[in-house]
Amino acid sequence: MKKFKNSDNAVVGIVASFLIIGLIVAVISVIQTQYVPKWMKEKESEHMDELADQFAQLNYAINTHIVNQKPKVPISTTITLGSKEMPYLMSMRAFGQLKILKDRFKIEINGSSNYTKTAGIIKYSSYNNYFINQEYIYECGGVILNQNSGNAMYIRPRFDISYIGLWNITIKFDIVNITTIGGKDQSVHGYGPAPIQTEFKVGSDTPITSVENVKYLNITTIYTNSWYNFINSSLRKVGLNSKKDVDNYTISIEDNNKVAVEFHDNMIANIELYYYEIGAQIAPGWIEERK
Amino acid sequence: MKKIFKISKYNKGVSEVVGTILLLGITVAIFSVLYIIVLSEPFDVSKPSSTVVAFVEGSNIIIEHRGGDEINSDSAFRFDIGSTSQEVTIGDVLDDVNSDGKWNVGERLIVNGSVIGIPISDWNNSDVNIYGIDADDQEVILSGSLDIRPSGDIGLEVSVDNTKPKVGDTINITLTASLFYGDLPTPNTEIKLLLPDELEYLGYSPKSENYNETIGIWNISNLNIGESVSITIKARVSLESFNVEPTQLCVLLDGSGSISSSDWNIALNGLSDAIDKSIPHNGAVELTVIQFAGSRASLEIGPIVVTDIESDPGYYKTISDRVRAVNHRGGYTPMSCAFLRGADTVYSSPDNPANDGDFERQVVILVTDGVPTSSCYINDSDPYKADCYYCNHKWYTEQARDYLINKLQMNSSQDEIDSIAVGVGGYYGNPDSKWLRTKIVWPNSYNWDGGESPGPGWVREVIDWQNFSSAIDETFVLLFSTIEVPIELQNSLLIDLNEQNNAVTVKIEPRD
Repeated sequence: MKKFKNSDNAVVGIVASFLIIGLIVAVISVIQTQYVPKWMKEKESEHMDELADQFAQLNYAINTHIVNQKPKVPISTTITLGSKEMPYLMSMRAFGQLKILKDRFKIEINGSSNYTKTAGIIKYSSYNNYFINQEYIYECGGVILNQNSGNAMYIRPRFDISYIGLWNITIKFDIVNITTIGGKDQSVHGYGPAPIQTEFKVGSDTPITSVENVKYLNITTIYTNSWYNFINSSLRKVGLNSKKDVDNYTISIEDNNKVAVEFHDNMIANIELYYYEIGAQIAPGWIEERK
Repeated sequence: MKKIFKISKYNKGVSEVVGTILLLGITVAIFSVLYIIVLSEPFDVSKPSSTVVAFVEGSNIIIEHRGGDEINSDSAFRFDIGSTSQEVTIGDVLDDVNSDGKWNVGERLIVNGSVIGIPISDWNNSDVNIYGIDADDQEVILSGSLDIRPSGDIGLEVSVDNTKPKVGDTINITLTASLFYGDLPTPNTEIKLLLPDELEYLGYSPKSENYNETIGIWNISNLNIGESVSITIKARVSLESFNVEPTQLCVLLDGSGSISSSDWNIALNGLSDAIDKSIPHNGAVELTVIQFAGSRASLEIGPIVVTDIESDPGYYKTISDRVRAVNHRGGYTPMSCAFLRGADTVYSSPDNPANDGDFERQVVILVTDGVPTSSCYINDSDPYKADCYYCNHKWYTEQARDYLINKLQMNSSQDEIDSIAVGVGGYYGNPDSKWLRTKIVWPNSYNWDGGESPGPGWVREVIDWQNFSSAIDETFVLLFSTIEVPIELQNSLLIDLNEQNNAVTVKIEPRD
């Protein structure tokens, strides 16, 4: 025993081994705790950017349907639901969910006549582990980006305003209603690419209704901030409310789900509504609707 | 040698050396793997930054958060306008919708000129450079420039108190300029309204306005937002210097049996009167009249240039007398034959550009009280004689009309085919005016009710031949005597966002 204690053979090797293993563990720990989350955050952020592009493509496909107005000609686009984990070290993959939801958007107009119409939407929700969760929503011709802290109009819908006289405007607005077979909500969850197919169902270049002397324009939606900013900007860009101390309209958010616009008596607003119904399916392949 | 052998036999420390070498090897290998696989990722990770968008809205600069991480309200933006620079903290201009003290997606920074102490939408400034820094990591969140020149929409409207005056009458042209919307009241807006030679300038009102009739510029000293300014220009109609583009006019006249003798005379008298009154007699119009009736299309008049020289065979009174004497042939309605004959006749005229003539404009007027009932073949030995009485006459007529367009190389910017459909809504039956409008007239498919001109390519419906007389007269006035006064926004400091209402044209159709 005494002999063993006094022997320092191989001590240097053991100490060196411990030191080197410790160094390696320390380096890997630093990478795992400090860099992997950042890399993954960036990866998920890139996936969100890719989604923005994919929703722009989806919007383009739907606009193509509206321009061509040809039924039974489906167009496919792809939404990548999630992003994969890193092939080394420890990290988690991100998932996503794509839904087609009916009647989530409503427009009400009160003027020389009253008109109400609802529309379905396409919604993507991310389930990120590192980057903030985001939702991209195709709603009535526009694409909205939603986060926990708020939402913004990423691609603007059609809302053409033209003057037909002093303080006398005509607004042209497209109602794009996303529908599914049988009117059922559809959804898919995962991390791979999900094809979404769309086709033109109903619609024309003739307004479905023209409301003159509009007093109230109400939009019911979850994404009130986007529509509030969008409508307010559109009206201001054509000079409404630009005169000092003269308001042509009032815009407000009511009950957290309604954007209410009231046009004042010092102007005339007319709205032409164009209606387009777009059929959408998420599943791979294409299921013909039974007649 | 013995010593060396002794050392080699001494193996103390060999394991440490070997172990150290092995550990070094493992270390190098592990770090190599780490380097290749892991460290190839950038250590300087770029932060998934926020998306920020800036734009001008009236006299405000709006900067909107369009997704990504929230931004600390201590962050700042710098605005450079001209030689002035101003820094603004986000918290001071943030429209904090969710009141969390941070700049989140969908929230806006509303930067007003008064807030930053530098005027936005100022006539002296053209753009602003914006530079934003995130306070947390000192990263740039926005860098770029915005056009801040004042913008808006100036629109023009015009009215004339009498669009069909007699020669010598006085007319009032009232022009209204409106600033529908804009960032600023606009000074020194220039609108061009230069009267043509056919309108003699008499004066303008109110005198507070500034109009220079020599160059035709109306200078508006100040146009307020949402307000209009008007000027009325008084002029006398004068046809002394009226210029008509040299025109080959071809009238295809239905002489079929559905037209009674008395109506035929009414029609010819109406056409003759119109030649006397409403066709220029200064050599600017070459007239051809073709009657389609019975089994063929026959050339009745021309092609001959209409003049006011009595000794000339083209003297307008001589021509109108010849028109009154055209024999009514009756029978079928070979409309396609008329188009074929019209095409070949006008084309072979020495006045046609194909024969080095200088009559660049071609106008064809089809007058009919029915539908085609016989047809000519294009490639027939006698293409003006009807050979088919039981075929698709409309189709043959369409083919002949296309032949005419191609043969004369008609140009949609100056040439036209129009039609007067007699009997629609009246006693005599129904010319197919819808077919005429969609398949025959060219280059457009308009209806003309006798009011303001819809543009070239129209069908005019009249209920009987009595009304045809006035219709053919109005047609010639429309074709040869319309005075056009173009009016346009010439100059404005404002960036006009809607150019569609920046130009209007007044059309005046004087009566002799």
